[in-house]
Amino acid sequence: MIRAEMKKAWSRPMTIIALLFACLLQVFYPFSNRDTSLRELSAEINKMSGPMNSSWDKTISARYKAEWGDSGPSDEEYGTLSAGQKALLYAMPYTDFSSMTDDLVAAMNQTYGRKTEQYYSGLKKAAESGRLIFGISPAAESMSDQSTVGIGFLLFMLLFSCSLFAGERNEGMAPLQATAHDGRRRLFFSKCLACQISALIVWISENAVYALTLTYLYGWGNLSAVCQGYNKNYCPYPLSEGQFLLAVLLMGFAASQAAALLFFLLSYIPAGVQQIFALEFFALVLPALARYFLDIGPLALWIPCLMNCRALLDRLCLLQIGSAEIPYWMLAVSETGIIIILSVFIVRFLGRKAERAQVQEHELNEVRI
Amino acid sequence: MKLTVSDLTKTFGRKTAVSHVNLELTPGVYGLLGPNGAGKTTLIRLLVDLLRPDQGAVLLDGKNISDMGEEYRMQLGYLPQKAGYYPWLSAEKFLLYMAALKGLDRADAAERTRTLLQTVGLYEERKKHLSAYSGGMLQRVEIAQALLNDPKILILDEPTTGLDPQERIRFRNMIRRFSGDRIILLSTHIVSDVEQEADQVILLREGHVVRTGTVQEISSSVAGKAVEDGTSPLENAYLRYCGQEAS
Repeated sequence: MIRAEMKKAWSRPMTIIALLFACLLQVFYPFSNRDTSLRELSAEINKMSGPMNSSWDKTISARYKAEWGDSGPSDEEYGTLSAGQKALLYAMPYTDFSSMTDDLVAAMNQTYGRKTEQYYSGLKKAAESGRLIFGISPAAESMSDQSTVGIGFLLFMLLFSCSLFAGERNEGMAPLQATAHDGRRRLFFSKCLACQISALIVWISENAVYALTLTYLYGWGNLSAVCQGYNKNYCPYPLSEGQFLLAVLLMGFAASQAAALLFFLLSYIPAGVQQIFALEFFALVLPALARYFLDIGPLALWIPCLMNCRALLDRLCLLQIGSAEIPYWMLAVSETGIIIILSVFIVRFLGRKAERAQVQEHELNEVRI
Repeated sequence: MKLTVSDLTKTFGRKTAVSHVNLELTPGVYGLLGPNGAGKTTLIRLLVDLLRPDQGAVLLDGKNISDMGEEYRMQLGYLPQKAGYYPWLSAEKFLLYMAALKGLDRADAAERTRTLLQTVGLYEERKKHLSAYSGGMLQRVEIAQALLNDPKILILDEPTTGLDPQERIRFRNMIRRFSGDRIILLSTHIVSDVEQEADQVILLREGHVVRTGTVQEISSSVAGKAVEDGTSPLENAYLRYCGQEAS
């Protein structure tokens, strides 16, 4: 039954077009935002790869001094720097990192409390044990920005899910299905699974195309290099670039599956294709677009937005609303709880009741005629 | 096998579409005749468990079909009046999909699909998208889907709509071959289809069964009282029981 649903869904031209569009986004976006010098620069940076300990700090500092003394390059000089010199400039701030962690822990504790202490003490231990490797993986860093993957995925799901129930009702398939042996409960679950599998196919395809594009543009560099923080004080994480990307992808995968389930549940509400389209667009796609383009913080927790969670991992695990600090996990649990309650309501009451009402309304119209 | 319709009533708002209908259907071909708005489609939707009755029940061998669920649907073949299809699928893929819905395994599904496409004369065009099919061809595909699971109860709502005379003859032959130990209910407004195929006729008017019997019994019940010239005996009876004159 699942195989039949998959075959049917994927032989629809719109499904293939939506998939191609989602994948092409992963080519156009990196190309339109490419940094032409990054491949060469990252190769130079990786020539300086090594554990960020005191001897590495001394080597880099010595090279820096030999190049520019204590003052560093002037603004005029900066435009004429070679890739190797730029790599040295990039490396220099990392030499301060070991000595700066103590101050950082104290500052963060004062602002955010115990959770921060745990986070930064982990970082400090990693630094002390030489687990923090200097280097860069430009493709991994770029790929951890999953915003276009998220947008492509949500647009695909928007088109795909509208055909699941509303489209079939439009095509007059509902009576045929409901009178078939497996046309009720089993069909519902088959559609659900087909939706989740299709979501997985799209997500994997998008990321595969994205990875290939980034490989072509920048290369993967040093995946074991320490991950550069993107936000909070620009400190490294106690994670390598590869580990960080894996964490982002795992989170993105989980969020994509959860978002697909939400699309499926909303598509079950008995309404026309246009109404379902509008409902899903406003409930699921628009918040993601607003989040990606307007950077609205709290929206980051809405499931479809979690597909691009790099920014979330950047920040501390607290959401500040006014003076209140709410742990993200608490918000996530509440959000999941609300969704489960809504799902039960949609499936148990709204769906079946309104579907039957729709048949009755159809009958009534026939009787009136 | 016996399908019993017991005191079946269905209302929509203030309008009673089906009112206290009692029927007993045993294997054979039944023609359900009635004018537009007589309640044929509502009765059929109650028989295929698409609608729940307000009163009464449909029983198969004494068991309520609503309680039987899959067990009932396994034995059911249904062609709705306006059957749906997927325009982007070929006839073959559409039937394979419907076969999966009906719980057939892949080998059986492929075999039944091939046989039925040959039976309805569409085997050569099985790879064409349904969007390229004519109305008559689509109707033949829909008839084929109703027969996929070799149903014991076959309910066809206006099955000959859109079929040309040759296809109608083919359809009648198919029904004749297919009958036997099955209950077949044909709902139509084309009296000649019923006249030639049905063992029993059910005349429905304003939600009520106004007459049941064999073609001969019904025809002879109005013998010598022709309503209009050139009508067949059954058409004559139909006009008597269900036409304007009856009201």
